[in-house]
Amino acid sequence: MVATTLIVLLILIGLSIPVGAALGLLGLFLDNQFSMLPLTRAMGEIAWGTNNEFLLVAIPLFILLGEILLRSGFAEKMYNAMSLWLSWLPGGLMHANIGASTLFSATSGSSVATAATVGTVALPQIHKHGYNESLFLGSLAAGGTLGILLPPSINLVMYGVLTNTSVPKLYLAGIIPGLVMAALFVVTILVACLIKPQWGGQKVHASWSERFKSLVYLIPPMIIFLLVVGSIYAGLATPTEAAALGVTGALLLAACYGKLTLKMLRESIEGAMRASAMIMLIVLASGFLNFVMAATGITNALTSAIQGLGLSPVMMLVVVVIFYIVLGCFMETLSMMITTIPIIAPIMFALGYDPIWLGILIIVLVEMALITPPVGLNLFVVQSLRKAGSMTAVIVGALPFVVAMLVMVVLLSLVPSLALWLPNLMG
Amino acid sequence: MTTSVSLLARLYGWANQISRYAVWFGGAITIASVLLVTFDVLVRKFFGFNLGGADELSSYAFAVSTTWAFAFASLQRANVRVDVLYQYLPVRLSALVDWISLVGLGIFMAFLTFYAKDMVLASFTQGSTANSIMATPLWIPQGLWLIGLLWMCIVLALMLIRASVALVTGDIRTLKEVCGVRSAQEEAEEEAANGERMVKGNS
Amino acid sequence: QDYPATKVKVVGALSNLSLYNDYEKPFWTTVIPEASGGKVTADIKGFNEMGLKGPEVLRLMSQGVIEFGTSTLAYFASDNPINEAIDLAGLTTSVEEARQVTDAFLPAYQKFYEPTGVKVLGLSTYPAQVLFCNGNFGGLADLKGKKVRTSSRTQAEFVEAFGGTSVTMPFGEVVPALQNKVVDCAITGSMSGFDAKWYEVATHLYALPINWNQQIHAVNAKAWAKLDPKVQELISTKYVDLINNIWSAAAEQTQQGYDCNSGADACKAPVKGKMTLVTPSEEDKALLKKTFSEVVLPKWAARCSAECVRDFNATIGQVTGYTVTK
Ligand code: NA
Ligand code: NA
Repeated sequence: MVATTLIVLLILIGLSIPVGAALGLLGLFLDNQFSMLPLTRAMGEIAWGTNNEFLLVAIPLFILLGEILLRSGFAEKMYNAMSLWLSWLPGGLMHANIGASTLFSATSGSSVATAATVGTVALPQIHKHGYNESLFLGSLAAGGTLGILLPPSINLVMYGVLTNTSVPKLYLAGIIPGLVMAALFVVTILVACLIKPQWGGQKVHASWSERFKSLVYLIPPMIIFLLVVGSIYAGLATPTEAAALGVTGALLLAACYGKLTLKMLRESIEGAMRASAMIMLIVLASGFLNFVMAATGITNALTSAIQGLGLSPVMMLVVVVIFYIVLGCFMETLSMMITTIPIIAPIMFALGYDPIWLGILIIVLVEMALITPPVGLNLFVVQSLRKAGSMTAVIVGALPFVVAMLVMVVLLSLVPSLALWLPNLMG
Repeated sequence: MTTSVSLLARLYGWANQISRYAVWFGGAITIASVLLVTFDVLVRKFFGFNLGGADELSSYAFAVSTTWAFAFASLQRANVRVDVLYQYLPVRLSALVDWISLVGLGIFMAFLTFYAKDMVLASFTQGSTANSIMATPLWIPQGLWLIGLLWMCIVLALMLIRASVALVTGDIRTLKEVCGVRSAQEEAEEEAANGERMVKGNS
Repeated sequence: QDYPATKVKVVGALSNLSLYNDYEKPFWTTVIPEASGGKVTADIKGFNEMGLKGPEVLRLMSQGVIEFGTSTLAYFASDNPINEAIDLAGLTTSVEEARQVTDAFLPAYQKFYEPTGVKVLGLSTYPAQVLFCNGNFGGLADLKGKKVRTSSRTQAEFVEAFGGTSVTMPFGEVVPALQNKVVDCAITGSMSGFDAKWYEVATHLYALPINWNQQIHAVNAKAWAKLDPKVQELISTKYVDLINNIWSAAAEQTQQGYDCNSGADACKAPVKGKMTLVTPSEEDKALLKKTFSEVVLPKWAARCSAECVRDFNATIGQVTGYTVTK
């Protein structure tokens, strides 16, 4: 039963059938083959129940927030401010890339949007200052991944919904690992540039007065962060409500910058609705598939097959990490999460792993998937931004950061309180 | 043959336009629910009462805007497809695979729409209402949600007809335009172009 | 006695609560197989483990997608207000009374569900649903101006009848919401609130059962008819014990919830809460009776059918003394 399921899934995916449809068709097939009950009739009820879920409303809102925010045009000024503060370090503007990505992540729920925005403003600087192109590109692709680890984050909301874990706690749990990861990226750049000083380009020097004046450009992202994340802990709002506050704030900001036009709104809407519809198609189909798998006993068979391996909790953890690294090379990240977490999370919980901690670990692995070849969406984004040159440069430049992420996985495993300290403070 | 092909192209254009309007409608109700939720949060904080139902209404808006955007997303080939093998296939074979994918999506959507219809009918005949103060008659949001699914089925049928004609006549270019995989690169390029336009502020 | 080999599929109640883990699951995985000499067995999973939300369980059962199933009766208020009849917020304030009301109305539910192809096997209950508040709370009058997390229409109407504001949010978000004062109070089972550590973020526990979330245990009529009469007999008989056991457990757990949240010695848990346990005064009980009969009950009667109101008066009315005209 388990084998048939896997083979059919591989065939459907191999035929490049849209992931949502592939999961749905698998559900139909399994019902037809293994069930005495007419499980397919539950399709409508399940799809409605899943689609009409207040927690998931955050998904279109985050995407919309990003679209509006980008169009309000403060990204460039924010990047310049970061470069004034960070570019004296060996590695110069590459640190500004990481800094700007970190800051932008605090307003963006998506990694791809973060990489696209920061990449756009940063790329013209490569040749100006004589950087090693490859590492510079890698820092953009990697920095962008922070978008889903630092709150707000679409992927954390999804994990929260899939595992019934508190989203505010997940948000808190992401903060320290996000900052540690940013620091690891900075260290990676420093180490690389100490070994090969010529990679570092020219440092950019700035006076303190310039620096302090530039701080004013950090205000817009701060406002959005306070609305989308701060409002939750200030007792103003639930996570979904906070996302709505963020969209309102972004609309107001765009209006202040004189960018709020009907045309801009229409384009933002088209982008946001299209992206969230495709995510939801996968979510609806996998809701149905999970029901069929549970009802036919396949979930149980799969779980006991994995448990039958008799792995210790540590070994199981190693297996899960390797599994996500390999899968992440080939799969788009949200579909990867939606399809695997319902199976893997309960097994890990049963072994005693903390749900919040596991969520953060999986997000770090998902971030890695964004910059591992052959399918790494952030790699592609950066490559398309530069328009010329070989893809290999981006891949090679991202590799040191993959190593940094592996270090992060080890750190998280050895020191779980990196993730758990803040949420535990909250109680 | 030519006239029927051009009729098909015209229908296709209409489908595109209607699907775009549907997305705008979805966006409009999404922004409306954003404003409603914001208002609700603010009055709850500062005046200590709330309208009630902002979460319920925005969940309905979310559900409806989701299905109303399905057709648009499919027409733009935004469906997530895994192209690990696909990218190595010879072009004719990959065209066949594209066609099969479209059929697969169509089958799934047809089932989903059929059983969604059953659910909406059940809500209608039983007079089901939301278990909330508002007691919304459920067939209304569910019905709107179903309309999105129905429209998706119609558009998929149209896409399938066009793709089949293209497949039979060997018009690979049209077939790819209808249902080819937008490679991850293609997608990222668009994302990047978006980013550029947005940051430079000429959007 | 010799039973034919039979395997049934069961969709159980919420899988993380005691009702499922300590009663329903052992019933199907141990009690029934042992009583039938291993002949009658079952696959059981909580509805949430199947990816269901709960309110679709009875519809799916009537369509034959689900054979045996359990879910919270009040969820189905959405399909028909009759499902709220025994669980209106404020209707009963002790587990004995709740049991009497439930038993009195069981025939009305059996009659109601029969045409939909669903056979009702019995009605059990969760422990009492009570108010957890962060901040001083002396009695029902204090609900005025408070934001209260509720999880059903009748709870919301109850809170609003006393001048409070009802807020809906997922169970998992309640702890941060209470802590940050997004809400002042929240209603849940006394023991589930303890298990979810609400005592860490709430200060006052009001020891008045507001309602119960009775569970409906049912089976698809066709699936039932296919079972051998001996198997039917076995399940029906054992079900009586199951329902009784769950009711006694609910009474114990309600008390245990009070003890553990307030840190009383009777609580056996290793970590206890320090909440202030507020016992309802006589005035409060009088206020409750008045508000229930003047606000909550008439609102419900207005949305339920004439027959449903008649059944209420004839059965529940006899037990509680509340009657209502439509
Ligand atoms: Na973020
Ligand atoms: Na990858």
